[in-house]
Amino acid sequence: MSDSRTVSAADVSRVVARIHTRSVRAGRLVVGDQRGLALFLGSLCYIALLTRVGIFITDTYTTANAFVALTEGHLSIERAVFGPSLDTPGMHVVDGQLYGRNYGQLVLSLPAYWLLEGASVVADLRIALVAVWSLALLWFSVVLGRILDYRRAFALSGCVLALVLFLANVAVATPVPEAIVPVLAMQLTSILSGALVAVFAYRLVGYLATPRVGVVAGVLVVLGTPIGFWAPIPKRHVFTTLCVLLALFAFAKSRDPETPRRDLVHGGAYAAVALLAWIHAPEALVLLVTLVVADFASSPAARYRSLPVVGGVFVLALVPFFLTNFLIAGNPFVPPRLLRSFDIADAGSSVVDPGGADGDPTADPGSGGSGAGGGSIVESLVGLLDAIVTAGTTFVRLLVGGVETATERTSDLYRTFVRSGYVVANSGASEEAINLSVLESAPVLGSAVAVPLAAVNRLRANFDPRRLRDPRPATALAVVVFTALFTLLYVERLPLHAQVTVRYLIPLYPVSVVGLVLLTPIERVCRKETWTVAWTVAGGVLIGGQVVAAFVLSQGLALGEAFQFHALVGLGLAGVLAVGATATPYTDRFDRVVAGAIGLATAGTVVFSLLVVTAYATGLGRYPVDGGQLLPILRVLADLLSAV
Amino acid sequence: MEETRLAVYGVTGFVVLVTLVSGPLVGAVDLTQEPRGCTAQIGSGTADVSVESLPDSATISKGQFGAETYYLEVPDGSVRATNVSGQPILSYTISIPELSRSAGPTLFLCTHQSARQQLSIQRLTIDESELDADSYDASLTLLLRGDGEEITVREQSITVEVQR
Repeated sequence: MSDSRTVSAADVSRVVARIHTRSVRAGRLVVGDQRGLALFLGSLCYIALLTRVGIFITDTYTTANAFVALTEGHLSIERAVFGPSLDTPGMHVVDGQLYGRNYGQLVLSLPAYWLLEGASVVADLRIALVAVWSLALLWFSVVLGRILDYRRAFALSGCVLALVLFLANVAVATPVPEAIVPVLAMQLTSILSGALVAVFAYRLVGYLATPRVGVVAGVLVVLGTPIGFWAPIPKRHVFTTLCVLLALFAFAKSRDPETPRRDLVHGGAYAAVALLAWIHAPEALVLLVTLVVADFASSPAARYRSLPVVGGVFVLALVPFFLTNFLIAGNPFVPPRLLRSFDIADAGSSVVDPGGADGDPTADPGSGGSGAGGGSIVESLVGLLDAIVTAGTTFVRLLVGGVETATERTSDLYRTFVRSGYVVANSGASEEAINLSVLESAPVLGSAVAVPLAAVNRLRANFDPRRLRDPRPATALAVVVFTALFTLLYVERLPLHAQVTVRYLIPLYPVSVVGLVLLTPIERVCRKETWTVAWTVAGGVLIGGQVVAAFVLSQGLALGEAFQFHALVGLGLAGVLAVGATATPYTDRFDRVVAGAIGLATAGTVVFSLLVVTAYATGLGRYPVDGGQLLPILRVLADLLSAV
Repeated sequence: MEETRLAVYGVTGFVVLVTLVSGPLVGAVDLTQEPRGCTAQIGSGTADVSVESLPDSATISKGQFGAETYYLEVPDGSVRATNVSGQPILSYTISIPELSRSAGPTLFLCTHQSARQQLSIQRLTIDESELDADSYDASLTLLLRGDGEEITVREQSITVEVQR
């Protein structure tokens, strides 16, 4: 009797141990190592700070309603749970049935929905979210202590911080409206992707350069670019960014003969393209072309033996995409974006408030309705051909248009990338000047001026095409090709309204950070002056943040004025950094100054993002669907600081 | 090292415990409360509203830092709402017929609030191309709606000056 009990206890502990090892192994597959884990947890906590629960752009009504339909077990949308009606931007119609788009993102959001539903049985959702956030913070500081070898100090201060913040949040907690849970699930998945973007920026750079530089790159991605701003907003941009980084990471690894299961990893890069296609097919085409070009340029002839494996993985990964298309359009090769739009007026979406529109530049109304075909193989093949031709011509047309824009409409280019100011809205309605340029959104990219200088330097030193076979030059090539193609894809339609931080180009921000580190001496700066960067970020946020907040609050600025003020600050910081960066290819004497400029530029983006969720929260949209700030203390802070 | 471990597990345990105890399964305590105690039907009841102050002029001026758009700026006013029952609606509007624009907040009055209510109008953006005069006539309106009837508390005209 007692014998069997001992056995069962041993069984339990063995099962627990196995689950533990399995989850550690799975975790390692995702975050890589302790640094990746720290970056993941830190990013998660930071992005959660910036999170407001709700719908912010009208085409999210479409995806949210499609998601609700999905949670009920069907693809077609039957009722408008969110929004005034089903006539919302991005709604597509086939045989009288309504469908949304970005289904990959929606399916990936399902686990979060089930988790929230499950959690709400045993816990008050708001308290559960606050608890998870506090524990993530505690875990973050324990891991940080392990890395920096100050275990005790970090663990104990983490305990105090987590406890105090948990209690403070609980003290002012309000319930999460039940109706918003599907949107919240989409947001949580997006936040998770945002944190993983930082992790994979770290892993990519850490693998190609050094782990230390990788950590700096990861931190710059999450703090110094609009990834933090957009991750809580349940749109596709952060998902597509993650797909791009996954592809680049797998591609980089596949260049190295030492990589275990190399062919599978190589296929993994193309699987990321397939996942992206499931979310947004035109962007996937850019990534596919990038990979194919980089593969051709960097693969020795012997690599073509891996083609069956790589192709097999790609086709397998495309199955969910084809299946979704088949279920919706009756043709596996016609993605929702190529279907006829439901919106009668074809007005495009708008930020809920202030007004503006999200006319998707990659949607192609010309090919509307091509998907209402039957199910026979012949028709499917015709559909495939049709889809390839449509996609190909649209793609080429967009690229040509992009080149034309780049050469002819330089003022638009300038407004998109350098100085925004007031852009007259396409919709004709007067809008606040809240759409920042790329450089204003991420001043840290000011260091990009070093790219051509460093390139000239390096090419003069040695140029050997065979070196492209190495992971680092091959990945750098992929980064350059992707940046060029992706810019050309969208630049024709930019500047657009309802962008805030040029959201269409979101994938370019982390990719550019990676590119800067790979291509310029910024790598040396990050390696030698890591702590200068770290301390200036901290100082810039804590001191500079207070100065900026005090100024904005005391001046009683309107939303557009406040945004343009941040834009000018960002531009100034970018300018300082740019001047410093021009020196880096020739001398390392100014590395500390450049590191300081990188830190301040990053701090500028952090301060802007933090003020958006607090001081400008009431100004930037009073949303019809709104559950307030995710963390209750930020809601209280927002009430105190409300500036516009 | 042991006490560090103890602290980490202790805090974790406490956080999990509070979460579970306050959850619907145990339901020992409800930690999330709606911040306001106004639960009456919106638009029901009535109130006595007296005007304390209303602005007698407003301006339209250009935004700073390259924001370019023009902003309508109306100084704050205030009212006192007493004898509130239910949750009547007080709407405060500025309208400029020549520009066909209007703006202003809608307040839901209720007994739990202080009697003095600030009336502030969020800055309205106006495109430069719309502005062809140096000043516009505008009107301020205070309407109280409750129990199906609408009372005009105050209606007055003001001048909006354009500062270029």
